Amino acid sequence: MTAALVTGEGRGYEDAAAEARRRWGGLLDDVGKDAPRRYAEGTALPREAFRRAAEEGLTGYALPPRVGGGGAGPGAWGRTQQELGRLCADPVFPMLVGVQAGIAGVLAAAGDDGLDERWVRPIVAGACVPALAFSEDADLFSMRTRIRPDGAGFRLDGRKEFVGGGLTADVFLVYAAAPGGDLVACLVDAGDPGVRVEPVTGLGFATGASARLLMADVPIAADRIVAPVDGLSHAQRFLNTRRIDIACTVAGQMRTLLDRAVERLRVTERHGRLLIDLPNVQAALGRMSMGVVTAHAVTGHALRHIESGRLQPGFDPVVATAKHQVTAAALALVEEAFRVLGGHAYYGDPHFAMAVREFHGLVAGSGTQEHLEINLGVHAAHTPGGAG
Amino acid sequence: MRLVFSGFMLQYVDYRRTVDLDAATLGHAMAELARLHPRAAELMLDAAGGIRRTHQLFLNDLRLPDPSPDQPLAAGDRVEVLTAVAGG
Repeated sequence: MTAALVTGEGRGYEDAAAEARRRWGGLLDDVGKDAPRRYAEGTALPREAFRRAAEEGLTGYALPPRVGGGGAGPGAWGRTQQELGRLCADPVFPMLVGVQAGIAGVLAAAGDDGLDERWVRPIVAGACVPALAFSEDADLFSMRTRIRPDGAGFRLDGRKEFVGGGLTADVFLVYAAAPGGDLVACLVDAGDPGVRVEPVTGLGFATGASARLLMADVPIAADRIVAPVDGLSHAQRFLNTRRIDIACTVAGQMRTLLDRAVERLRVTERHGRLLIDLPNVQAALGRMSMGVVTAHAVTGHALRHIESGRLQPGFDPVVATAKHQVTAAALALVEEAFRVLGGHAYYGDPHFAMAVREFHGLVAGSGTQEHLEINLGVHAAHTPGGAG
Repeated sequence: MRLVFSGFMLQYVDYRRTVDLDAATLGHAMAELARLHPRAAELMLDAAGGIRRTHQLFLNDLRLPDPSPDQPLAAGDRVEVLTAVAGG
């Protein structure tokens, strides 16, 4: 069965998916080899995987050609991420590639030749691996990482509690509070004096080389400042685009989980009958299938919304809805899988346990579900009839 | 004129949904807000004095796509502030 038939998506999805398979199928196969064992051990994805992703044109696929990128539009990039999510047995890899591409994207969007040469082009070429250093267990208006003027440059102090890919990153996009309460976005080199990373673990992201980033009196040259004013809005724009990336990747992952469940249920007998012939199992599969279609429908709608130029920077209700709904559908799907697969999901096929861990991370990632609900409610109050 | 807040910004205006100000322009309104609720004004304005793009402003229910400090305001005007932020 084709992806278009399963998800209701059309030709654009099929073309982008075929292109992704042709260009990056080999990379994804290699990255996914032995993924469950590495995930269980907490063995980090090698830096080499990200260098190769960049060299093969994946990281820069949606970046402008002027910085060495592929110039793909947001729709093609989103559909590519769906296919990455579907194909890659390591659920963390597509997420980290998405973050790296997103960082290169916001740096390129500054239109600064210096940033392009020093950082964006090396990221696109695979010579530099970036990571986002944002979360610090505080609300957005109370960040404790501080940046202060120091001569012609700045000094940075603080810590970021969970940096995906932090152990293998060359550079960090750090958000810090400036005197006066503004947020500033800046770049911190992993080799800068006063910078230290230490491994951390969470419920998921087990192959993600996650780190705590500690910064003590780190000198930051003026040309490392990405957003000198209104870093608050800069961060929100970044998170806004991350939401559609996440939604697309997870929609693809959900398809694979549904396929794995069907494959198992087709050959498993209980009380002399194949499980897939039992009405309650069929109903569960029906609910899982609806979740997959829903996830693709809301991401497809969001991608078309972005392609039409209607993306609202900072907070876009259509994109936020996609992230929220895909998260809810993914959690529901994996719970259904446990119900019908029983022990097989718990100890037989590790992909379901990995999905449980990863999908719970979505509840908090790029705006908690609760935050998104509040924001969507406030937005709805201003736009009766819906957000589009 | 009246400033109307919701969501996350409420905590910075003592959880009052509305703040009534005597201001002839948006810039005056922000200056008054800074006097009454300094933290709210800090979060509304960037270091260059502009309205942070993370806030959307609606003047009498019409969105101001690029709010300027020179935006004239009349006595009965209502400026609603929509702040949608996440992360931390």
